[in-house]
Amino acid sequence: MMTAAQYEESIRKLNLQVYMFGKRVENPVDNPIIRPSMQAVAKTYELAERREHEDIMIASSHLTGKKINRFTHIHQSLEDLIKKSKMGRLLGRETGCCFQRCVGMDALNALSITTFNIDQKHKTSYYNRFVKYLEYVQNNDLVCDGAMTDPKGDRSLAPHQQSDPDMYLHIVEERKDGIVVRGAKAHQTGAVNSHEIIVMPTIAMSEQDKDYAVTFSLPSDTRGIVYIMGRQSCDTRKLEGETMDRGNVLFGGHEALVVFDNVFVPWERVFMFREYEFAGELVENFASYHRQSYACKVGVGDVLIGATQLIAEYNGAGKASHVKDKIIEMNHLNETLYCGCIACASEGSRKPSGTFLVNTLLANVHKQNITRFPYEIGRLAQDIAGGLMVTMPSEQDLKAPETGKWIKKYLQGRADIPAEERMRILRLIENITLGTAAVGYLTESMHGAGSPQAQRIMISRTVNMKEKRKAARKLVGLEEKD
Amino acid sequence: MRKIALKYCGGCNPRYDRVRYYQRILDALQEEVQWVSVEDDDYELVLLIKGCEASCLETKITKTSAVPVLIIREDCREPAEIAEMLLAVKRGDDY
Ligand SMILES: Cc1cc2nc3c(=O)[nH]c(=O)nc-3n(C[C@H](O)[C@H](O)[C@H](O)COP(=O)(O)OP(=O)(O)OC[C@H]3O[C@@H](n4cnc5c(N)ncnc54)[C@H](O)[C@@H]3O)c2cc1C
Repeated sequence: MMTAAQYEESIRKLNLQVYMFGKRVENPVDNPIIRPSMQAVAKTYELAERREHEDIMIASSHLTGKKINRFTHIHQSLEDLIKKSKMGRLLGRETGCCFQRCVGMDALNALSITTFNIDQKHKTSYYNRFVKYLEYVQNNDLVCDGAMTDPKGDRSLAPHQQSDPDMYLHIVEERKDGIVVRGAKAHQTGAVNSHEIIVMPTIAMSEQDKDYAVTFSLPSDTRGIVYIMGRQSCDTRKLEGETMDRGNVLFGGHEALVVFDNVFVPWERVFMFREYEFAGELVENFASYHRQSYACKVGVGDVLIGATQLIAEYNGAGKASHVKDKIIEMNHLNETLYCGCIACASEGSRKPSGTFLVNTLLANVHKQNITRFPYEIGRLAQDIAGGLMVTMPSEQDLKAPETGKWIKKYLQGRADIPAEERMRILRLIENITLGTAAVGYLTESMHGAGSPQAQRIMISRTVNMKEKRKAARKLVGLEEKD
Repeated sequence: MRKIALKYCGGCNPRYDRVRYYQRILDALQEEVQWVSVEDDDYELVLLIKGCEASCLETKITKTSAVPVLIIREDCREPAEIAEMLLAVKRGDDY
């Protein structure tokens, strides 16, 4: 396994084509806007090095028996699934943001199921290819970007109906030694902190879409792959030199638009090639795993609740009954989210490939709650924080002799707490509820792993309505009907 | 010198600082102890430091361990008491 420092060095060696604010970023690792996100991924390595977290962070490879980082593991039991949920909460709390590494783990696990199933039907050899690839990822302790979401153009049209055929990533050429693909993947979490990119289709497909039914992996610095960094609200505060106004002074997340400009993929890295009838299965399984992964928001919720409790105390309102009750409500919502990610793991099942998959219904219920509760938790945090959270002067003003004295005087809450401490906690609440970390805590909670409606469709498809009808009829003395 | 295996639970949501508590136990120890991992062999007991009441790791360790397992679930006991127990426990003792 790599240490956090080795991980940083390994990312430094990549030759990624990254753009931000219209310019090429030659050194993403040291770029002040990107670096906090690299540090968040590095935490997934650092915690695995620590004895007090190894029981969650380290797994034993079912391929080699070696100790591996759980982020590269294929779940072999319910215990593995539960540990995955716990790992999400732990890392969310340690970083206070999106640590980016879950999406690749979810892609690997979904592929371990679908490549096996395709082989069963088509006598292909995707599973063997995939297992070789997995061993490479595990042995080298790599970070994989899980790239599912296409730009999608007109949402009412299928991939083959789009006026621009590149709106969904597709095969443009088939060669003896591999294929050439073109298109893009949007909103890619942690893309420039990744060694590998795993590409999957984004929706179920019909035969007419078969050129879009393609799954593969590539080193992230493969020729033709271009990364255009997404902006986050308040992102340029990271350029200011001072750190307090960032809120979270250590960590952050990032997303990028990833363009595949006629990129060559060798056959040994292709895991689905026009088997369109398996696109839906892959999307569903990936989405179920990824919906479980929103366990991380419970950890970020822990940070936000902690910050809210602190600010209530610093403001002198900590003992007010409505404040206490609001904090209870925040905890209630947060622990309800925890229940969901533990439940879908505990009720998982073994698939033909041997991989354990979460309970799809419960994973969707969990993610549906995730699309709502962090917003309510954030609203309560803002309620208790007070308006200063958004009207407070900058750290420079705090440090400037002309204004600092006024800020220290008038931004004082309780007399025994320095104004600066109060300001730092307010900045953290701002960061999580409307700054850079709100990308992860709020909007990613809404849309990541699928928008709310996607879960409602899955809930309606997976819930057993027949049994519910039967149960009702039985209790009123009506004969059971199928 | 006593040979003791130290094992932490994963610490997903600990109720106290397990590492700091362990450090306080170390500080309170009156004799030198050789600390090893549960994967090593030939130790006299296991000190299992858990962050909460949940028995996720506990069941596995207590079921498979051939030596006594001293389980810490909270930090309310004086570390000196734990340190004393670590030195007093004998093979075959039941915790
Ligand atoms: C912070 C963040 C991180 C992300 N990270 C990743 C990542 O690492 N990898 C990855 O692959 N993806 C990632 N995603 C993408 C995520 O999966 C998508 O945002 C999600 O699937 C929704 O797609 P969209 O953003 O294009 O929104 P849209 O699909 O445009 O949805 C917007 C609204 O339109 C509705 N809608 C869309 N299509 C239809 C239709 N045909 N009929 C009716 N209603 C429709 C939706 O229900 C929704 O209400 C991330 C997203 C975010 C915000």
